[in-house]
Amino acid sequence: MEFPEVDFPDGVYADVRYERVASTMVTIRDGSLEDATARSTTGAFLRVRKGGRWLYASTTDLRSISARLAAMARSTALPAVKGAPDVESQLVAHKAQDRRIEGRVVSTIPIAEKIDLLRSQMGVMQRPTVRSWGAILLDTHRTRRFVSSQGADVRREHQVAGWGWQFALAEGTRTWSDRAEGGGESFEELAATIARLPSHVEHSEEFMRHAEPLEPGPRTVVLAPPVAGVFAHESFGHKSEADFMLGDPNMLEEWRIGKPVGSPILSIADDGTLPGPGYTPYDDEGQRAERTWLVKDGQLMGRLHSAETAAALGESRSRNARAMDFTFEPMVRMTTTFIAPGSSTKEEVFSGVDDGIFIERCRHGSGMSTFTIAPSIAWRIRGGRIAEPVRVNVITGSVFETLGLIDGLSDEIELHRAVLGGCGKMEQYPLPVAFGGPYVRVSRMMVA
Amino acid sequence: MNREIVRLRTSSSSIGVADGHVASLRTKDTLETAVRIYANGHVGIASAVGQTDEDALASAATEALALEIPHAPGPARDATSDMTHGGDLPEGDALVAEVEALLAPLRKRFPTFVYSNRVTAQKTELTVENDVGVRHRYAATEVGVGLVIKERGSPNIMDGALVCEAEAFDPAGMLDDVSPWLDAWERKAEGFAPGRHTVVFRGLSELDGRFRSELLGRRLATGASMFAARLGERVFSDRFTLIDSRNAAKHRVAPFDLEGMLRSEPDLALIESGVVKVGVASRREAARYGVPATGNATGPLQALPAGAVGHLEPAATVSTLADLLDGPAILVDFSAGGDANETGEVGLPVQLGWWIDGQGRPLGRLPQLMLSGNLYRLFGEDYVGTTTERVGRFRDEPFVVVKMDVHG
Repeated sequence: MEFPEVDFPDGVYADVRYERVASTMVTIRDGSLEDATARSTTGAFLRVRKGGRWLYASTTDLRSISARLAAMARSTALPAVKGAPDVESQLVAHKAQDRRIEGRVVSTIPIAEKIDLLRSQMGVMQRPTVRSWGAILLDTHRTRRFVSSQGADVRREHQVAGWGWQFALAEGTRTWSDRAEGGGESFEELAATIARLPSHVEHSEEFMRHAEPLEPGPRTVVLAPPVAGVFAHESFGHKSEADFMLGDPNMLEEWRIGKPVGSPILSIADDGTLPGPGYTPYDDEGQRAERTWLVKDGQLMGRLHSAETAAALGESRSRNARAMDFTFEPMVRMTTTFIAPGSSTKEEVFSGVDDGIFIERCRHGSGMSTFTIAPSIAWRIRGGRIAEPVRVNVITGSVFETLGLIDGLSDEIELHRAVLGGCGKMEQYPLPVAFGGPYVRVSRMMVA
Repeated sequence: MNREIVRLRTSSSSIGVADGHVASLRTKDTLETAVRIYANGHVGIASAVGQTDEDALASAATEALALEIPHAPGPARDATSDMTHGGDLPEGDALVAEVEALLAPLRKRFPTFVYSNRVTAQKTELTVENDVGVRHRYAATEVGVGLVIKERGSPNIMDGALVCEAEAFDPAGMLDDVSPWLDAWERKAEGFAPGRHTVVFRGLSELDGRFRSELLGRRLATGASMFAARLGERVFSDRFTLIDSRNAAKHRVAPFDLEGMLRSEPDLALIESGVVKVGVASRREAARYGVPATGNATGPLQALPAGAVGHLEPAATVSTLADLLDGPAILVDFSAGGDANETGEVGLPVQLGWWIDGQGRPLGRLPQLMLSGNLYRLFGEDYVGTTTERVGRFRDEPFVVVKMDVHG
């Protein structure tokens, strides 16, 4: 049996999270195949709750699980503590199966077919402006089983497939490096999205040729949906992870549910039921996913929890305990985080801007009390219309002030489903997540 | 046909910390093995995690030769090394006790703060062997302290960090290193105003992004690098020399790379006296792009190694930080989200900075700032220098000092 049954020790809570990961990576650089590997790994992560604290271990020796759990239960390495949160009461012992496989199982597709797909696009790079390029295809097929001493037995199967294409352009004295990416939950979806590579490169060429630096200063900014998603994830998503509030009752009071935190038109949610890289129908504590509103109509509505943080803070548990792989313990993480749509059309969002900036793409973002977004492709908005391209190093601002300055949201959202990369938190990077939103207009952001 | 095996064994005990207390104990023991087969100018690779049949991996790697992944130079030859850094480390309840010896005084002396994240004691052993004379072994033990520090009531998810890396756990010494800064937390920086300032960095990590992405041999060779057109030219200060180091006598680094290459000289100047000299490259990249192989092949064992910059720091220009400061300066403690573009323009948000005196002692905590500059100037006319002195007993980084524009 791939994931064997477990004899749980008496007297303690324990669980086992089995995982089999089959992944493929293909890299082509400057026309030459650099790498093509496929690997399957099976392992398990063990948790024992004893005396109010956790003992963890990981192993690839699945025959030893029950014996290791017994040894962990006997361990005296962590003396008992008083007043520890009652984690077990937060856990519901589900018995469930969830298999979400779109198209062919990626681990069964011959690697030669994946190499051929990347090679089919190499002609796009035959342009005078392209100095160097690199392409990567990555797919992952995960099969999981979660069992616990409470009787939980949750089996999940999911896959993602993605591509990324980096290229360095140069023409005269002008240079520009950019990246295109796409993918989804099947090789077929990956193949469909890679067809937009040519237009992406042409767009980047035009940007390189015509973009000029922009004077720093405060401006009205419109964020494209993927950028809005980065903003939501970095500026507010991490703040919603409840483990950051442990031990700080002042912060908990400051962040009480119901507090106004943003514009009345703003709502932000995290939802593990949405298809894509962040699809987490059951989290890594075996709890069934549902949508968690973090902000609703500008008010703080909820937080992201694991069983432990919910117990420690006395709040309703969300289903956000996730681990990067079987060698790590679950911690509070996002899944798919997005800004909810508003009531304006996209045209109305732009027409409300006399002189501003449109951030079409970004390289990365970060969020503390001040957030930053590093734009890649950006445009000047003049008289409500997208005008000339501009080079912007970074946009930044106070998170809370910026959330309050959102004054326009388009009425449809787009979710960014890139498979490459992911979310980083402490040592666990990259964790597959997704994010998105509508077109978001912010009346004032600092552009540098 | 040649066969090469790379093995990486990692075992660790890791203490999770929540609210300043030990919350968990995690043990890991993993073995990762990769086998590469070289034949007729191609390479095949297969890898596995856990105990594995290396002959089966070799068979799979041999089959992978059919993909015809080019590898012109073939395997490295005739290079051996055996290096160990560090000794025994505490495990299990012994490690728990050591971590408590750090946390308890932190809680008592500085109750204003919440401490979280983890302390890890880790042993690694990396070997690279092949049938044409390569036999390398590097073993290291290290205690890594990564504690997130948050002021109670602060709206931030973190306000600072205690980061230490050492071959042995020294709670008292680590407390001594961080205490001056926690003591100074409530002191606001008097006499500071935005403008042009001397800025002190602990190491180069906030400023090295473009050096890491642009000083790759393949990018220089293809013209993709921002430095490509200026290779061989002096574009920085003649006091600025940027070293990629595999010097195991000075740093906790392996002297060999994942292709089994040993450098003839462990310290490689990528930029020397302001002149952009060379980019890093694996042996495979060197053969393909016509650049020097620099012993920088790295990456996950599942993949074939590629060139990447490793331990990077400027060559020292002075001995101590005090030698570089002629008055108060800004010390960057924590910066996230910054970037430098292809023309060298730098924007750096600083979430935690200190106003320090000419000896490097904290005068007061600064508000969040934005720093700006241009890489060519930061390490040109605005370059103040780099110290031999390390930033602390438990961090292998020098002080790097430049002039920057500082915005409130």
